[in-house]
Amino acid sequence: MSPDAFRLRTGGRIDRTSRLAFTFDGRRYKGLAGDTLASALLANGVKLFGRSFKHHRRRGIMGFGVEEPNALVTIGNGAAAEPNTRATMVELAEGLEATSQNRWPTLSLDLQAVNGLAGRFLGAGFYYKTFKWPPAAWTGLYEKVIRHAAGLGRASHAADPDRYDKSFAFCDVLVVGGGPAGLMAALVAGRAGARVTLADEMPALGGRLRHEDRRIDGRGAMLWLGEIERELAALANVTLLRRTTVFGAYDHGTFGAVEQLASDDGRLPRQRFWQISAGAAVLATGAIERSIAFAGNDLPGVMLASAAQGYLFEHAVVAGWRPVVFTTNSSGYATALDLVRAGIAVQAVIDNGPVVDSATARALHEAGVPLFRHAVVERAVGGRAVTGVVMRDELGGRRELECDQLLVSGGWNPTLHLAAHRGGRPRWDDQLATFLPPPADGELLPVGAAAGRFALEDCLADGAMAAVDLCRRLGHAARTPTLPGTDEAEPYRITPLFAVEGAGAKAFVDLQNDVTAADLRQAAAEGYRSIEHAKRYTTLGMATDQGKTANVTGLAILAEALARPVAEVGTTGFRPPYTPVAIGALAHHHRGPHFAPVRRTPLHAAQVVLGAVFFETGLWLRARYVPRPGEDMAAASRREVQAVRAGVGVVDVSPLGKIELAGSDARAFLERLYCNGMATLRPGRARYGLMLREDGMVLDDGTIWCFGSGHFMVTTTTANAAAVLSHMELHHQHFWPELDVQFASVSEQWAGLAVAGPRSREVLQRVVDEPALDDASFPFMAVAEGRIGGVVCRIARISFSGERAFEVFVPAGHAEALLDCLLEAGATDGITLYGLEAMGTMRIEKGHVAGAELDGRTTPRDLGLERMQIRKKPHIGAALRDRPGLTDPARPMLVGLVPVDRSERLRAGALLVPEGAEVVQANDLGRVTSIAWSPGLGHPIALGFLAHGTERLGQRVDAVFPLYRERVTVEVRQSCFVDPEGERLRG
Amino acid sequence: MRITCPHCGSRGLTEFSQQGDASPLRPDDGAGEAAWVDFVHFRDNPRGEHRELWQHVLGCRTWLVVTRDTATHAILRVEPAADVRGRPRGRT
Amino acid sequence: MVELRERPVILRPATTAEGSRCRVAERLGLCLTQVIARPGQERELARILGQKLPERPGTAMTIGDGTVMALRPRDWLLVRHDPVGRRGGLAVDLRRRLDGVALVIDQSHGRVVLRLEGAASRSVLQKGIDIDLHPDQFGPGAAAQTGIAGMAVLVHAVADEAFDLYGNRSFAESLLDWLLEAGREWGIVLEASGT
Repeated sequence: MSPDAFRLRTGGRIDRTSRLAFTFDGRRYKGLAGDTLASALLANGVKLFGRSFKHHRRRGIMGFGVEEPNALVTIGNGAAAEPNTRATMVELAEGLEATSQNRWPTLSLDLQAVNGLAGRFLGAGFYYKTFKWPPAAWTGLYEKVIRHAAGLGRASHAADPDRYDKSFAFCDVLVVGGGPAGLMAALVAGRAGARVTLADEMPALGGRLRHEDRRIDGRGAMLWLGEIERELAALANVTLLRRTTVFGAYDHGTFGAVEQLASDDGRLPRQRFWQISAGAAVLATGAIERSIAFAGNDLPGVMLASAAQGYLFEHAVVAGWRPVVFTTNSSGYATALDLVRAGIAVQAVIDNGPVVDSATARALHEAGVPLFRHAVVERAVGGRAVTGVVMRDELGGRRELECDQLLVSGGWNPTLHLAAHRGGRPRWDDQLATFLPPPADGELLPVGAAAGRFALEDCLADGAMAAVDLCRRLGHAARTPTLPGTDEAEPYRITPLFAVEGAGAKAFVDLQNDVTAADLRQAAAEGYRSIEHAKRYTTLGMATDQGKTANVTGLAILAEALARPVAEVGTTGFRPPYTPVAIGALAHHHRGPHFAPVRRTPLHAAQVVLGAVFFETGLWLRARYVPRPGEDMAAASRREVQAVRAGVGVVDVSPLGKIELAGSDARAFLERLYCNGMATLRPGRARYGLMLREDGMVLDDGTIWCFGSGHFMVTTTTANAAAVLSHMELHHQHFWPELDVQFASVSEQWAGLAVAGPRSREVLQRVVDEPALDDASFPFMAVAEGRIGGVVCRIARISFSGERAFEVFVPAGHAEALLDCLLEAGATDGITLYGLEAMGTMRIEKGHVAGAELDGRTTPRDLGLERMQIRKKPHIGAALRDRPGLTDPARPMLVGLVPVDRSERLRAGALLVPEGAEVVQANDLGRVTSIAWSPGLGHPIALGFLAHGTERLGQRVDAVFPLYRERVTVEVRQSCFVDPEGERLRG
Repeated sequence: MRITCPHCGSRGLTEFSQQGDASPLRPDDGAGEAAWVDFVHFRDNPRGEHRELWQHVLGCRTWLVVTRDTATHAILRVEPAADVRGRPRGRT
Repeated sequence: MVELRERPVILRPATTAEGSRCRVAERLGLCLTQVIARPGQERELARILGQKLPERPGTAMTIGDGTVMALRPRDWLLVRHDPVGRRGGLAVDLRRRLDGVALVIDQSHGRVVLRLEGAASRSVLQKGIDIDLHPDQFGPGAAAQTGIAGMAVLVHAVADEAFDLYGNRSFAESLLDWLLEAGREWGIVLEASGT
């Protein structure tokens, strides 16, 4: 067929000089620049666009824009394939590849159409009633079949190659919709100096002005549109966002929108997610036409009347040369007249309402178009497409009319979704036979058709007045403009009709989910009286079009079946997004390596060069081990531990939380934060500290360094650094604001290296200018501010490894140089850079608790640190520490564990039960928290919590890991495996 | 959602972290177990006005008491937690 | 005595782009000192420092070659170009002078300072910052503590088309990645670190 078989020779806003080639289901077609995929295919005479979801019925185009329920296609192929795209919203481009969905093997020969034969059994809620017996068939057979048949398009399952972007935007007035009402609002607000953002989902502004032949201010509406657009574009305080859908209205003036961007420029992303904060918003989103439920109303060739106008004026495309118009309202007449004027032979206008004399009716009559009142279309007839209608008059007489297209106008529904997103419920209007937005809340004003005011002059007036109102409220002087005049038009009138009785064949309500009028009546009969229940039972409005053309019709049918007024049945809740939003747009930058920020220590680059292997812990990248050629983690960390215990090693401890404090009440503040005493902590000394939560559980552990009488630095665990800081800030600001204490995080300022081992002092002294590090000057737990290479540093003699050790903090920028110096200075002592794996092994050997033991469920007593708690002083956690549950002797206590069979491996998280006992609650004795292979002892070791643990030394229990069906018998030991007297530490 | 921090102005929700109900006052140290259990573990869950502790973690790090309607999300009042009593009057 | 040289935070090579409308570079050699006054000592602090201190959080005052930013009540960040002072001496000296008056904390190494400049710089930042950055709302001198892609950042508008971003050092690479991605549509380039 010719590419222009259904294109008028003149008119339209396409570029007739620019031909674009594209394919649909592998067949080549040609369209024009300015076409959508839908208009181009219609121009080529294509009638069949898809197969319906359940029954696989042949479907054509119903609508013009986002409301389209049928023509869902997949655009592109491979990784970039995008399924479930409405052909009406795809701008035609050269080389576009589109394929239809939900059919096999082809669109015209779809074997799954056999479902249609089973139609009787596929009524509302059929999946709740079927596929139940036999139960065994579910996973083997039913699930497979259903999975294959379910869904519309198919996702590519490959990584999305497109880029997405996000930006915030701020404005005084957000105008949603660029039709006449929105344009007036933007103009008035823009002229008043307010910051205006206008967003419209289409590529061009104008809304329905583009789909009708109207005159504004004595000239064509498109000329008026052009002028307004130019003025708006010239205003610096106005931002125009085309191809941008505002998909959600959120709290406090926040709106979500998605903009489609041109794909030519490689620098631009495909879509941009806008998070807009608006002082106020104008909802100028117009209205969407609805259909009527009658037999055969889903045949290809049945289209919304307003859509035909759109294709006519925008694309010069007619979907049929001999249409019949079936309408309940005045707008159907306008459609018919527009078609007649374009030379289309309208076969008849069928109106279920009474005779009303109007200029349009008279013009149609003069053009020879038969007008039938008090009549309905009982059914549409045709096999592959509509070929005629059966009309029924009020007396029941039937007459068949031939046609090649049936245009239906059941009425108009204001597009009120955004107004209802924050929970307000729409109100039924009997006069307009539709729902109107909930009462305006001051932040979002519906205007024009979105508020149920369909006349063009009302749209213009509403937009302008809303802008004046909002501007005044926001403090901008807005002048009420002289409103442009419009040509005469019939006032809107409607005789409500939602469904036509009888005729036997299916009358569809929700075309995308194949929900019929009979399904809704069946739901009512089965007792689903609430619209929320009926929606989910029938799946009305649950497809990707969210029932834009179906919901109102559906609930009116339900209301009638329940014999209740529509106003009482009401609508279901409205939730964002208004149209589907790609997850990529919401994720934008945050995918792959950028899913979350990554934190690197000041020694990251240096350790990379030295061959360290990193792992993620929280947001941090930490060096886990530093292998020599041929070593795996086990071998490397084993070597590292031995090197430290025999000589000297150095490890990056930079991510530790560090908080600096001062003030006359600094010490008192610390006394309240830690459960152990701080009163006797002198300048030049550090102390281990245990911080509790108010409920008595351990929050964190760390060290407190005292530099001067009121000057301290505390360290925290890496994982809890942020939590401890917030904890301190809360208590100081809210609970004890009278305390004279000042503090701030210095975690990032200081890089940290722990130098550990019997040779640590000798090596470090070669590098440190001051202080002197001999035993007399710098005993165990001493701290000092010193100098290394003239750079200020902080040094403490603290050990995590159990060896003599020093923690050296230098300003982060000097960390790399310090590491170099240490490696050089310690070369003769075999200094070894080690990682977290070795560090963990050593602290487990020493029974030092860390994150796995401080999981928020353990008290100082559980950890064997009860004696640290000072009873006399008030501190956080003191009040609730003596509750029976926390002092129960059967409570699991920290112990060491060793597998009886040294070759067996333990797992962290294993449960402890009596030897040989069943793994049930009653036998729960505790758990394994940390595991390691001890180079010093030559076998696996673990830490854990065991009921009556300290009384059971030498006894055996089982460590079980049911997930892997493992059971290992272990012997209970002291938690400190190596050098329990701590001689290596303090020497 | 947006919260107007008294120091920083109107900011988006992601800059804040919520702690919970600000109404319970931290008991005196010697107040007894019952008072402390109440403070630590028990909370009302009202529909309507709720006074809550929030911290402006990605901003000035000030702790705030925010009066928020739990049903409508309207923010009725924001004050620095330092200006709101956190414990009963009297000795520490 | 050993030599403890310093390295910049960002060590990536500079990039170029056609028609670039913005650029980013690390600023080196700055001393950042956080000063928290004891209650009632604000005036004494200003006297010792010899300059007026901005009161309202989110305001920055540039006096000579130094800038003072108010972070929160009684809490300021002093910024001045002083490469030698970065070895710690500046903060130690200031701490002595302010003993009893304020807590002085050296933050010179804890932050990466990125200078973002160019016609598109404001638009780049608006992509990640949920604050109105319109020139009328965030003109030269404005400062804000906020977040970009979940990372805490102090933003200081230095000029109409220039911003200093103070981010935590450990996040530097991620922050730079975000800037380079956000600025891609305007041909953002990374320049060699400068003072």
